[in-house]
Amino acid sequence: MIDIIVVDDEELVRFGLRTILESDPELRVVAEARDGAEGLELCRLHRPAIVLMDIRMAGMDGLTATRELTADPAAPKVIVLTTFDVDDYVYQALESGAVGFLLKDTPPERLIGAVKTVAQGNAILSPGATLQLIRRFTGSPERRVFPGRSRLDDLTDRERGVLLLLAEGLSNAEIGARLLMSESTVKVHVSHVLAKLGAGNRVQAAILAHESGLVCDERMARGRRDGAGQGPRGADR
Amino acid sequence: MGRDRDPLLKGVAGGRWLTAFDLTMTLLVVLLALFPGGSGEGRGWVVVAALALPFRHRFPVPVALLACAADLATPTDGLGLAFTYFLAVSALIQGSRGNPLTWVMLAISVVVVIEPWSVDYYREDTAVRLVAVVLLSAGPVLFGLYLRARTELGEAVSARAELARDEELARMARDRAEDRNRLALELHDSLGHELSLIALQTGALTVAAPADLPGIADRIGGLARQAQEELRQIVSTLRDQAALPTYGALLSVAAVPGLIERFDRLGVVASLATAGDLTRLPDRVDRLVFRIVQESLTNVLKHAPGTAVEVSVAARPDLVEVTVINTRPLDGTRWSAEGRVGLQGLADRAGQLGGAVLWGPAGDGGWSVRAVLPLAETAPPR
Repeated sequence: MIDIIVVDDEELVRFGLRTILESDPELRVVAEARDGAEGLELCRLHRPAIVLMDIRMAGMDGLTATRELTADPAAPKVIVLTTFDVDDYVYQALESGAVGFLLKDTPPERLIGAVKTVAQGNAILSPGATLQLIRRFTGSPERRVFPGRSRLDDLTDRERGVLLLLAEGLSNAEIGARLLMSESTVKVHVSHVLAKLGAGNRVQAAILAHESGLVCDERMARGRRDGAGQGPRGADR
Repeated sequence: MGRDRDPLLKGVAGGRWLTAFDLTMTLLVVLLALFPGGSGEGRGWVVVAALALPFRHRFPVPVALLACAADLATPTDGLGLAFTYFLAVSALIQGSRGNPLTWVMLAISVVVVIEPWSVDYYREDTAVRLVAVVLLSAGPVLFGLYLRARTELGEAVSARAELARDEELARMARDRAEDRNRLALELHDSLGHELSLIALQTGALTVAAPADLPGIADRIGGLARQAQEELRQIVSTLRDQAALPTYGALLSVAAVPGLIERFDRLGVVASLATAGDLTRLPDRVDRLVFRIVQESLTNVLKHAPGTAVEVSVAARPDLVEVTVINTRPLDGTRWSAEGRVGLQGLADRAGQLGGAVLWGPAGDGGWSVRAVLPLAETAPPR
């Protein structure tokens, strides 16, 4: 059973999400909150696995609540809700420790699937859209401050390889298939990478990999190798 | 000067009427030169110089040179030659912009007119002839200077007019862009919000327990009506805007007086009182104030036509207060919460900004809508 708390200032949104989530026997909405402060309180009380968090609310907003919530090591995983703007605020929420974002009008089966994906923690939620968002905001020059460069140096070659694939949105199973390892081995590597980078989750590790320029450097290097005719991309790793 | 005019024509003359003038002059000089009389010596030179006259603005120095050659070639100066000389030299002066060649050419022209080598000529009537020669050489110079001053003045005036027109066009483009931007944001904030809620509820509908279905269907219907109401208001705003001559105020407090004027034509008489600086409201607040007044007046038109309405918009240091109060309808219609669909959507938006919209019966059987909107952004925009 996966316990969930929904934080949104609109009753209609809370009701809709609860109806959809509880239609799956494995999911349970244990509480609903109208703003960030109430959400924090209810999380302390119920210790849910997942929090669905609106960004913009009267009272304490979702960014602040996410930041406070994820500061706790035993924090629930926060999924940010957005109406239809995937913008700077969503990116800030990811930087603040949210594991992903969902549009409020996501169809029921995808919504349920997303919550389960996050609960398992083996992959980035909707990797395509998430990576697009990360690239958009790490692409801007003022964002590129190379904060994690030195921390990246602590990684072994294997871990670096895992991080690169993780930062491209691959799940543990996919990384395992690509690097010829078992999924549980990948899991161990991922946990080492997160610990060494001081990242709270996969998305933060991906952001770090993009911001530090690691992904960019690697892509260029690969481009050069491909240009030299050394076979298809990814075949040599 | 027209930008699209044929460059050759532009070289020939400054404008169309001047071209006609040139043709007439050239024809006249040619006729005068060909007219039998005098010795007729050098007549060919005069005709060539006259034919070159239309090009005097484009090639001032060669044309002046031709005129001088014609002067030297004719022993007795006729009227045609005088015309040619006059026009050629005045064009030389008019077009000269610090070109040293011009001054060399002018000196040559003056010498050619004075003919210092024909000393015999000045023996008789010395004073009269000297004056005549001076006038003949000074005349075209003065006329050329006059033409030049006039051209420069005209250019300065048209440059200033062009600048003003460019500025006006830029301002209009800016205003229109602002209108479009505000419209886009308004559609986003109003319809986008409701449509996304409808999608969410529809999702719930597919998985909900049978007992919940009527309730959810009801909510979807309510949201759809709310969205439709919003759309209707925005479309009517656009229609108003199309009829207005100005841009840059679409969906803003600045458009409230125009809104009241329009409702006045529909039979809703409203007074407007404003206080404080309403020109620096945050964009969301600005649009919402307009929409609240618009929605309230629409409700008065629908439910209480013929009543007196007081609209007040006041900016305080940290919030804006909007009040729309109408008196009791004459036919005694009772107010109900029905038809407040549009206000609910606006109240939701006010809530997201940390404000509120409240409505209810006012004193003597009338109705009031009150809104308080904070000026500081309390949370990131949705």
